[in-house]
Amino acid sequence: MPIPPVVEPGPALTAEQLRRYDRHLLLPGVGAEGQRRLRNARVCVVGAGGLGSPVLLYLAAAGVGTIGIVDLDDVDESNLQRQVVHGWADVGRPKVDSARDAVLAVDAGITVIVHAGPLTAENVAGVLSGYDVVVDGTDNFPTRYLVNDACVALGLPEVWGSVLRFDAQVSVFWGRPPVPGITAVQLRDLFPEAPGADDAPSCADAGVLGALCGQVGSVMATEVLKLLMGVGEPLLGRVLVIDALASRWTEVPLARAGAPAAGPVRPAAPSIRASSSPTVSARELAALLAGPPARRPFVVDVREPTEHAIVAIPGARLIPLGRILDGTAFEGLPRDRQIVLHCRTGARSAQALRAVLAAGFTDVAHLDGGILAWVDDVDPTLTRY
Amino acid sequence: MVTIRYFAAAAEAAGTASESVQASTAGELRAEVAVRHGAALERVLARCAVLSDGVRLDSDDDPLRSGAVVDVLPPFAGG
Repeated sequence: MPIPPVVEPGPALTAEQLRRYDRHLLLPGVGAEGQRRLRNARVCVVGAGGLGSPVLLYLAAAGVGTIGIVDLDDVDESNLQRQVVHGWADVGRPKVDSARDAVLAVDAGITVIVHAGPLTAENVAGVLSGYDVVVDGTDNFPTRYLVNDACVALGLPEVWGSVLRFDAQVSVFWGRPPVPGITAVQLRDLFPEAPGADDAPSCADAGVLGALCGQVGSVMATEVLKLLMGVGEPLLGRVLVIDALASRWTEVPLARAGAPAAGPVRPAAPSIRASSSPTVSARELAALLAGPPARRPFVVDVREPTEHAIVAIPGARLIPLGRILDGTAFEGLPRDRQIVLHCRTGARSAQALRAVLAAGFTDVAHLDGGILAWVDDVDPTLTRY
Repeated sequence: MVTIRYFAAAAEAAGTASESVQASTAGELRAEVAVRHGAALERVLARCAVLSDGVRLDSDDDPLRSGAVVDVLPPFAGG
């Protein structure tokens, strides 16, 4: 499905730009107008590492007018095997400085904005707002979820890629697209939450083939350019899975949790699930909350603070899943009232439910379909994400 | 019949990139592949995204369409 360009065209191209971008100008669907969109575009690349390097170089070469670079690390010798914006002479320098120099070496006319230091829940929205597209090429799960949730909150499209050993995954996420008709999917539809540190090895533990970063970064840069110019079909609702050892690229469909993907229709789930875990429907929960105060359940939102800020069930207490799984939240849970746990779709709350039941609480249920079901069935004026 | 496609560490644990199983729910599918490939795959599966025609299978009760393609993707965060 083609989607409209996310950037308006900038000023007319100069004679120098017409020469420089000649091979773009020849392309159907790009032309001078597409090139003017690129010059007017603002793209933030989070992580100036293995993936960020090729993305930065190709965006610079393509003529993207404003490029943000976010990284907190210094260049290390072990980075040079794959992080091609950094060279031997850059070892020990902040990555943002080395990457900025590499971008400006391609085109000194690009506006480069560097964000040194860590992204945090407090600063992420400030850093990312104002950009047209965000690129996630970071090397850790917490930052990936931070960037995802901020992009959802800000309504920004995100080009996402991840590598390990000889394997890679690439996709485009857009949790809250601004116009209807665009497939709304985000990282949490694929992996609802970050795995534990012991459950997923990092490149520092398991290695990564350097040249694979080039393949993936090049796909990511291509997706950014397509979004900016509104050309072709974005990798939205699809994950490209790359196996470098087998030289095999596979497309995996991805739908918003709770919504069927394009393609063959799934059979409808039975209306009453033969489930061993106690659930309440959104309408049942709404009725309970409107009922006599003594019987109103204690509603716990197990999502992350950034998600809670997007949309929340009135009165729900925010206790992120991590605090339930590590047991630190139990002290604050009532034993004399029903507890109803909820998340976005029902996946995380099912996990929380098992932990709360295992901790000896008896009157506990979770919301079937999560807050998305609440929005659909109880209050459609609320934001879906 | 349902076709399962395994990727990366999941393919390694299963010893194959794809296979067919007879299963009408996510729970039946998990049980069947655990029998076939043992605890190593079961452990990997627990942290993987298991998607049927693009939609996550989070409950063992989730139904599987005959002919569905189930994709098993492990999470990793390298960049």
